[in-house]
Amino acid sequence: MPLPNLLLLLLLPSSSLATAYINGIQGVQPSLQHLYKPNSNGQWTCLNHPEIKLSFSQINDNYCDCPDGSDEPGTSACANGQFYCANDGFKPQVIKSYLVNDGVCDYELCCDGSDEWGTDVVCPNRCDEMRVNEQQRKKKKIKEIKEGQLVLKKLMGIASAERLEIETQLQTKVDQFGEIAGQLQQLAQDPEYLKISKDRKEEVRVTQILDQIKQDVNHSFQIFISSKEYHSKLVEILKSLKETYNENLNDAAVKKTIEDSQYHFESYRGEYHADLNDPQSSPSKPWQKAKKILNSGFRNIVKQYRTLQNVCTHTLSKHNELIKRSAELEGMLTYLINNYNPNFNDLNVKSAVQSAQDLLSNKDPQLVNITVDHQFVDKLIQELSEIVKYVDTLDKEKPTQAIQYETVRPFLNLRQKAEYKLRKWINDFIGKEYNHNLVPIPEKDTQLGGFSPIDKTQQIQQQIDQLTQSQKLLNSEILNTQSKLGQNYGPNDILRIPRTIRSTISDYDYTISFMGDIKQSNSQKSVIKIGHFKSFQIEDLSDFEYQLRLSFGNGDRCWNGPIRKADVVVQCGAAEEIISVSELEKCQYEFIVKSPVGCKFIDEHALAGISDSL
Amino acid sequence: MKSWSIFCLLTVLLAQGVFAVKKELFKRCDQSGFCQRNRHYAKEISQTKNNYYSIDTDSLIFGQSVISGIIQKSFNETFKVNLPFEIQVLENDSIRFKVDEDRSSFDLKSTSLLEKKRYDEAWKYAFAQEPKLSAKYQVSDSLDGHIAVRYGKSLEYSLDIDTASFQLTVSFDGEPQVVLNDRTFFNVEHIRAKDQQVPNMLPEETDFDTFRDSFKDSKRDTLPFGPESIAVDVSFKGFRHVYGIPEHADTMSLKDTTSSEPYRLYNVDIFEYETNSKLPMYGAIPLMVAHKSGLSTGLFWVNGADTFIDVKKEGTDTQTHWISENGVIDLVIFIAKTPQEITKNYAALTGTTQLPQLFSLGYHQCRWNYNDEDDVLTVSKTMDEYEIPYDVIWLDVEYTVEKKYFTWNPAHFPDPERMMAKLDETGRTLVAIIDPHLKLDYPVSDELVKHDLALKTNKGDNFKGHCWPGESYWIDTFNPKSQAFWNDQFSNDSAFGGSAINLHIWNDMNEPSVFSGPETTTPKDVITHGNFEIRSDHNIYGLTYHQATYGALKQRYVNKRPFILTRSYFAGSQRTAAMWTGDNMSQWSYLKISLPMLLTQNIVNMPFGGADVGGFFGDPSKELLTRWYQAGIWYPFFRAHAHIDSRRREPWIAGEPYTDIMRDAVRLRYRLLPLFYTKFFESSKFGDVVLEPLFYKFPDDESLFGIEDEFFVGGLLVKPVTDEGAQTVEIHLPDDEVYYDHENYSVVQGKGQKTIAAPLEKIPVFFRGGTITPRKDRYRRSSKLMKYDPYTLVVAVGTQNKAHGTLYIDDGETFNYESGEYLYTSFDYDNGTISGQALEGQSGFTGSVTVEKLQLLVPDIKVFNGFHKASVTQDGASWEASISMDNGSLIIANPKVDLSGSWRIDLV
Repeated sequence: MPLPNLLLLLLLPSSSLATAYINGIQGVQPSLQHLYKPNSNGQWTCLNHPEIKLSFSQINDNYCDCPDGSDEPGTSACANGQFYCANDGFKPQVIKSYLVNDGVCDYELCCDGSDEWGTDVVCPNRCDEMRVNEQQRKKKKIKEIKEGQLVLKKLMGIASAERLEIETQLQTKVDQFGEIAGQLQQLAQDPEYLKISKDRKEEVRVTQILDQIKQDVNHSFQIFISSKEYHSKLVEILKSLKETYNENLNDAAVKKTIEDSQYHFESYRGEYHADLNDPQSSPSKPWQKAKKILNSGFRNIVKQYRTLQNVCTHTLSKHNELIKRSAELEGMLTYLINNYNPNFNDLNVKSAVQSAQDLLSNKDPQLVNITVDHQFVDKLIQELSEIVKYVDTLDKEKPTQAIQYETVRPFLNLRQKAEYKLRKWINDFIGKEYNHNLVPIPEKDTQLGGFSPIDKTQQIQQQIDQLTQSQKLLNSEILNTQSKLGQNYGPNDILRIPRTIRSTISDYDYTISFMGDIKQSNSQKSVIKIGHFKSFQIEDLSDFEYQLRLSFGNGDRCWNGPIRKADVVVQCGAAEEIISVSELEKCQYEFIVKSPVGCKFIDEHALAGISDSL
Repeated sequence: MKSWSIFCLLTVLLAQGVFAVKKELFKRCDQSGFCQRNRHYAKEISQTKNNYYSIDTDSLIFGQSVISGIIQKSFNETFKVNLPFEIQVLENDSIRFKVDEDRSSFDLKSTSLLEKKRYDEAWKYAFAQEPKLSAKYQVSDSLDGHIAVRYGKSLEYSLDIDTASFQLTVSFDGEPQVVLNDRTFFNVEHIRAKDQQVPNMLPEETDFDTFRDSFKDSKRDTLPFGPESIAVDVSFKGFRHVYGIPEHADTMSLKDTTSSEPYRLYNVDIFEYETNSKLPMYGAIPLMVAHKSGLSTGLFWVNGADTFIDVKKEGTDTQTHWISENGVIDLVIFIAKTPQEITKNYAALTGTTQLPQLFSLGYHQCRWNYNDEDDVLTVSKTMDEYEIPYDVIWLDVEYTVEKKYFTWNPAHFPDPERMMAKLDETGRTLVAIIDPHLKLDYPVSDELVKHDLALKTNKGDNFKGHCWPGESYWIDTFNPKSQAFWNDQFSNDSAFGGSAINLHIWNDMNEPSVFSGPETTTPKDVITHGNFEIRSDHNIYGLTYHQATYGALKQRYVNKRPFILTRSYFAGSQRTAAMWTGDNMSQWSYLKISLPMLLTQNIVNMPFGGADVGGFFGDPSKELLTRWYQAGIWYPFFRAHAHIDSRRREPWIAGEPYTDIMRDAVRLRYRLLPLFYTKFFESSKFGDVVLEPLFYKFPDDESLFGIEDEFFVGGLLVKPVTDEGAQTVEIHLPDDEVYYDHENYSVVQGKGQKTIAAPLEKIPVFFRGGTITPRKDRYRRSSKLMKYDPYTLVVAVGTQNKAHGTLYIDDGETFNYESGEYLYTSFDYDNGTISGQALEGQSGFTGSVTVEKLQLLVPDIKVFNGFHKASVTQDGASWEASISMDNGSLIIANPKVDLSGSWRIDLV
């Protein structure tokens, strides 16, 4: 017969070993040892199941009889069993039964090595060593916390100064608002001013017409600029793919995409050439032309509306042409996305695929072919003609005379106001939307220059306009400041100070602004918004630590996926860095960062007692 | 208008384009010279019925179990091409047939670097040893040009050789079963000069791509020998079902290819492969098994060249057409009563599966890539936090410096030995990838070049191509001298492995995959050791490579079984490696196709295989991932893997309830490790399958021949859920035995279709009545830590009131079992008595041989009324064990039997 097995020698006598264990029953903590005594019949019952009676020798016989695991405190027989390690000289521990007698000395939990009492594995006691390690760990932790506190306190100082500053600003603004309100009230009472109110109806109507023109002209240029940008991004991806892909990797989809794009560039050679050299192809040239017309006085606008119309039509047809070219390029990139061989792992191909995915997923839905129907043109003509007609009617009344302000004041006033508003709008519009690539913002006085001398009523109107404007501005500033003050910036206002962390993690550069945006950019410098700050939660972990979690939402859309969002877990640390980023669900990220902002404030007293409390 | 039409064209391409590119990379039959020529020849010869091949009877020589002679290809009375042939009758009742070509009169250019003769080495890699000839053999030469050979124990097999029209017919019990050259597609394209094409062609032949290759990526192929294909047709008489010839992502029972592509065997790196396709994949085992009620046959096509196989279902017959680009004809015909015997006979010839280390049957956690030491150890630790057992963590290519194998990126892995030692604390193993391409200009490839061990171009220079690291050489592991070089790289205390004891190896990309090459591999005129074009031995390259790695690890560890995972394989690979089905996708269809693919691997005697759990490319839904784990625990090789662009998906990422369900699944695998290990022992010893197709267990029931979505593992019938949103599954019970649900022991019975509830947390698994399943039920962190745990035996009592099972135990890692340090024992239940009997082995290993629990499942628990306890007898002593009822089953608690001896338990 076979030799008796080594393990049998070790395990079979286990029940006798257990009962004879010098400190009581193996695996039972001292405070519970008294529960492990046989009754007068030599029997014992499961601790939570008194109905289950066992012979006392069934304790630690390596077979699980009690549903609560209480009969096997010293073995691994019960899945829910608990084993007590005395760990003399260090912290005693109760460990899960699966760690018992599995051939591994689980020193982290059981430094005395008693968890392997039933196997041939020898586990020398390492409790002294563990104790020293623990002390060192604790020291280090205290040092970290203290360092974090120092930086945190500095930040808290800045935050409270910031708050004070905002509060002071708010008070100043509230005071200013009151002053303006008083002035406005006074002006409104002025008898001269009261006269002009009957002209309001006509004024509103012209403003509406002008707004309509504004929208149409604005739209045709805005969309052209967007399609131009979009198209050039597509071109850029394909060109950079061609320049950077690894020709040695026989990826048929990449090669086909490049061939198709070359054919495309060749087929549209004229158009691409014109993009570079034809001033009409750049949005700024026709826009300057339009601007010149719009700037040249109201009458001139009326005269030149056809040119204005042509400029808009031309712009839209350029847009449509770009949309057509873009559609072809989109087709190539979609094909690449679906067919490239990800296994070749050509980083430049992957970068092209990713840029294309991001671009296509976040494409402005307005970037479609726009029918240059005559309705659009007609609308412009019609609306401009209406103004012409209207003005002509006004002019007919006093066509050749010197302007008599007193008599025709309401109309002239209206006309001048219209012109003033138109020009002001154009300037606002230009300044706001296109200052970076179109025309410089004119100086304030030239903007309003060229108007006739102003009578008192007009002066009052202008004053009222200006004051109302200032009041509006102030009002929104006050609301804004109030909401800033009212907003929860976390404990000690700690998130009030703008904090931005930058790090490069696996080929991506990340920028996290705590109360702003998270952005990701790759080596190709294409930037993706992962999300905008939404809210934060704080979970207390101990007297010295909490977990700060910032939620970001509404980022860029993923390819075939949802809108990106992210959580940022801020851990306590004196220095700021991004520790890790992971994608938990499709396009749902979690960042772990270190920052003093993640440190819980501990008062001096508690900090002094930290080493006892940890 | 011009641009508009381009746009239209693009739109059309887009609609059909998703898979087109991948197909375009690989040759269809009509783009492959030798395949198109042979399909053409077959079509023409079917019309003309001409016969050009016959045996020259004067040339015949009869030896003991061997007949040799000359087949002549006759153009006319005077122009004949001599093709020497040999027929061997092998033990295990198989016939081997070889045909070569006499090229002696052909003058090869004196500058040629190539060996003139046809490649006849495939068998040296495929067979485990020289095949043994049969002792039982009788031959009779009849006068009408037929030679009859009888063989087999009672001469129940016969081979009829028709010399005039050259045809071989193998019969069993007097019935013709396999006919070779039944349709006269037999064809050997003999050697000729390029300017001598016309006189060397039969009227039925075409000269398409004879001396050139017009396929777009292969135009530079020099084809120095011109046309040299070999082809033969084989008819299986009365066999409607044929199986095998992996690797294809297709059904288990092979399909008719008359109006599709033939099945192709050409080892290639086929990314995002299609399902239900005959495209070639990473490995090739040219064994076809045909089966009908009462009889099975096998055809083993021993050829390592590019090969196409046409299958035609004709009435009750299956007709096949085997076409290889070059080499000799070398084939083996097996006939036996059951498909299992075919697999076993094939295993006897090519070797059985290496008994794996126990750890390698555990759960493997892989992704491209675990980035650094901290990442590896954190994943490892998190497994323990979630109490999910696992054994192996893997490193893909990114652990290296610039994909230079045998280097470690010091920024990420500053101390690999420390990391491996840490993993070893809880019995975990590291598997690191080592591919056959070696980047130019670093010490390892410099050494390779110095020893002249790289694959060569057709001009004799070292072949350079592109792969992960950029420009690379490929090691020529056909060269026996490569072994010593390779051993050095893996040796103990090398910079790569240090003195780690838990490092094993993953051999990927060994088709070989060449990113810059035609069909993503080397040009066919690359030269391998022995001055053969890789055209002849391409499909064997992967095997030589992983065998070299096996040899190197065996030298390193001396007495530890190496674990090697290979992507490319050939017949014989089972002796040294496990395989997986390569780069699948995170889609339900790939989960589904993994089952027939792995059953096919079992049929062809390479059972140690798996598919990437979760799917390699893409991101699985939580449901798909969960279902994939539930199916994956049955894969003989159980590994989760993901692409570098896929999101993290370790089991805890999905959250509840998914994580719980995946944990339960993995734990079930671990509880069943004793069963899996026993099945692997039986495979390594007897050539048994591990995953058993239903028709293997019930070979006479035709209704089961096509079932590929359920299978047996020992006594367990398994039907993985592979449909999205499924709440129930249809399971086909193959017989009238009683089947017990593996969790609640409820009974299903009655042959045929049954609907079973299968909500997400349910894996449809049943104990078949009449079987005994060994388990280890305690959760431990890894398989090594289960060593000391006692066994549980689940006795599923059958309708005959009996049950039987086996169990194999050894130390789980060394070769000591070869010298008897193991235990192979059997268990029987018979009407209230359970007994155990050690069959073989003599113990001597460390590990548990105790039983903590016997669980008896019966259709009606009332049969146990009246029993109060169990009486245990062993070695002349007797003692009692208590019994109790649990959920309709009877438990015998802690019987304290020693499995290494005989024992008996009676209910009293």
